[in-house]
Amino acid sequence: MKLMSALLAAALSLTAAPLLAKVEIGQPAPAFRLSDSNGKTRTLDEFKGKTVVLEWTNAECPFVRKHYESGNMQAQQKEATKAGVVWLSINSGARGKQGDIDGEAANELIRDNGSAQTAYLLDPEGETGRAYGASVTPHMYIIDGEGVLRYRGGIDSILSADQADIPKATQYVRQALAELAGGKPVSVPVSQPYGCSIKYAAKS
Amino acid sequence: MLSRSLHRLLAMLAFLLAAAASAAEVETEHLKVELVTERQALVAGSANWVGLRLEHEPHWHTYWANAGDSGLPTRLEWILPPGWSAAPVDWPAPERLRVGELFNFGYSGTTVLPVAITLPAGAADAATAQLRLQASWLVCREECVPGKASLELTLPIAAAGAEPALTSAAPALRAALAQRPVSTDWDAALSENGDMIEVQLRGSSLPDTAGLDAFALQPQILSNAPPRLVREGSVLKLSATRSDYFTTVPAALELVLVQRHEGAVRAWRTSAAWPGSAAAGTGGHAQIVTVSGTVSGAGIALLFALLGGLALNLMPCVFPVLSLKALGLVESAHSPQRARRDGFAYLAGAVTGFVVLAAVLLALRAAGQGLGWGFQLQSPLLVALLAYLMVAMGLSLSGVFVIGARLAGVGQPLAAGAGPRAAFFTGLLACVVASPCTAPFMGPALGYALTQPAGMALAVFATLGIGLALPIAVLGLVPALARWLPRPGAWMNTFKQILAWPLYVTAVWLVWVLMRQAGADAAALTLLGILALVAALLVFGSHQLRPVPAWPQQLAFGLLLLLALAPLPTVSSLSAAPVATDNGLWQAWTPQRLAELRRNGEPVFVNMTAAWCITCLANERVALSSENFAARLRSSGIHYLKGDWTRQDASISTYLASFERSGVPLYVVYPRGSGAPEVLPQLLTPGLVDAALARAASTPTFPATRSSP
Repeated sequence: MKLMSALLAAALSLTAAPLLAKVEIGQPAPAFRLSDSNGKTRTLDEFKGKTVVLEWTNAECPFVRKHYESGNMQAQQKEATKAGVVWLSINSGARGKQGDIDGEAANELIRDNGSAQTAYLLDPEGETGRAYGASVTPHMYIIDGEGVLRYRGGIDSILSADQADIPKATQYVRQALAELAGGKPVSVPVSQPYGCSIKYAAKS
Repeated sequence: MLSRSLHRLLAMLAFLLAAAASAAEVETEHLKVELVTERQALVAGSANWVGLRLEHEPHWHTYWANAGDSGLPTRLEWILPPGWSAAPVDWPAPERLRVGELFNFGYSGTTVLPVAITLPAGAADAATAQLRLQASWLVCREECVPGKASLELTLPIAAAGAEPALTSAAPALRAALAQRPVSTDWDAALSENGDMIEVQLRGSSLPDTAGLDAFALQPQILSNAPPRLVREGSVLKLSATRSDYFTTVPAALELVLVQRHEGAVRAWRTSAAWPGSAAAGTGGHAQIVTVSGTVSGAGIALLFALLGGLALNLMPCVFPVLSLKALGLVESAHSPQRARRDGFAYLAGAVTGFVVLAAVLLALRAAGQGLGWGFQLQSPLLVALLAYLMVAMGLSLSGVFVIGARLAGVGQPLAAGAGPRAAFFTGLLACVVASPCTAPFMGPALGYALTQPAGMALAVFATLGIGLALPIAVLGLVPALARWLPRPGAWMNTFKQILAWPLYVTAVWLVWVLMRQAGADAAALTLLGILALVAALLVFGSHQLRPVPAWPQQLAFGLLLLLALAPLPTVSSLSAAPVATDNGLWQAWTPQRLAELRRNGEPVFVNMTAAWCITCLANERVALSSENFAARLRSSGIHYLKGDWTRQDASISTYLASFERSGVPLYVVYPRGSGAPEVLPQLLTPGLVDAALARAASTPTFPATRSSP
């Protein structure tokens, strides 16, 4: 009986395996080690004890622009960092693809749009992005102080590139951060991420 | 900006001209959009086909109703005269568009998104009417550009029943209409298996799989990678992995099948009801994970113990013993008093067996021995004795000898006879033999039990005994059920002869376990011992029938029995030659080796197994011996460490205990880098193992130790 169900599962799993990893809510978030825009090495471990927001970004993506040109993303970054939350923007686009920037350009970008993340991390090899299964920009994750994943998905509830939709949408990241700060379980731990596909480097 | 003014100008011009079907057309970045109609006038009182024509630049695409991993469906908002209505977009068959590692669903080249617009009967009162459309879309190659346009079209209105001339856009619109999925009356049965979702389609005119693809109309249900489509006779099977963003169970999965074959495009739609709707889905999925993880709470542990005990009845190692019991019941079934007495005795035997084993285990652990569940079978001596016991019971069933009272004190005649004492010992025996067959959910329950105060631990083991004994005991205790059993008769002799064979098979298995534990020499010695035992029992059986016992036979029986027992001391002192510790795929597990690999942040797969653990062997066969598994290990640079608990090994017991387990199997995957390990369920599937290994391998490493070029 056991064997039969195992064989059945074996037959089913012959289909293509997913190319991106999947991270589960309630499981430890994958560790990473990346250079930030100032050339400093940053790891997830160094923020142990603090809630960490990961924001996959690409400044030229219309969906990212929706949230930066409206000021929504910067406002949430400021709120979060003021409350002691670590906010890491990550660029997993490959070298030479749209949205690829070096540290200097990233710093210029941060100055220009007034963003308030803790650090802007560069992941041109895409290893961190793949480890988290990040597929789009913006793709958001929240990790608690113990390094456990608490949220993954979109920044908000309306799938569009239109700034006018922002006030109507539920801001999932803001909501989850408030719930975590209040010691409550995250009411929406998974949502559909939406945006531009991340332009990963071809897998070596 | 420029394009929008241009469009306004054009629209105004079109309005001024108010000629036949003049179209509003806008050229934006990478995409030309145009509002088109099928006919040169709209017909009052009926539905009219209109549409948004999309002309993509080469390599650029827009999206379907479900955009896939990224992107956005094209959105149409109509501004219509009062009384008019627009249906939702009637999406033509989508294409699967691969962007790197992601999959999107949409359109490239030139297509039309058709919409049915229904005019009221009174619409013909006006000579012309204006269609206005706000369209917004995302057009992407690898990068994306959002676009929007306001399109206007002024058309004459024809009286109801009229058939105005076709426009020049009609062929494109009709081609798109022809590519809409047709509804089917197929029977679609959906089932879930872990992270896999399978749909079996049955019905008339199912397509073959050449050029066939399938898409979920709803996002967040199926992963967007191509599903597997297999035609098996009259059944078309689709299997796909569950979306990583699956959150709520839909009432039904809406599927669109598209066949692009020899230049033709055909599409179908079908709907597969979700079994158990709200109950299934992520909730149930998460529960499976919990079950195979650790169990907390006394009530749950007891419940698992009971279920585990019940499940043991189906295990191959318990079956022969149960068959003995069933035979005893047949003999006593027609005397309810005896049946009840035997039922109780059997229950008491099984419970006693488990409690005594648990007490011994706890005492040994308290004395500092790193033992765990299954320790009984880690002793070659006990395994050899069990093999003897199986052979002896088998020979008795085969009719070689009849069980008398002469050998009182040895387990076998006690268990094989009749009466409450035999029933009690059958229960005891069932418990001893069942212990290696730890059913999947017993592992966590027993692990929990051993970490609890002695009273609670014993309660868990007693409950396990109750579960094991319950089915047969109930038969004995409820006369109404026992009456269903056939009456004793000549058939029982045949039945006995047949039942002997599972016992012989069990003996073979035990000798094999012994060989793994103590080597080929030990197995050969045990087999010689078994031959002597067979000879002894043959002699015993032949002189049993004589009215007066003859002393030569008695002497021969005694000598042969001694001969049978002679190899046992040697067997217990032998040990198997260590199996190759490195066969290219795996290495022997040692705490030092694991610690060393983890210090370097290497990904590791740990498999704790034992020759007497049937679950372990099934897992190795099903999930850990395929070429794919080996290829995954090699390509991802994952180290495979195997720990063998066939014989007692304190360091393995300690390792098991660190995962709150007291038995094998245990599978642990350590990710690349310094992440926490992941414990896999006790029942493996290739997909599950592969996914876990992929996760472990993809976790980032430090730049300096990156393994792949």
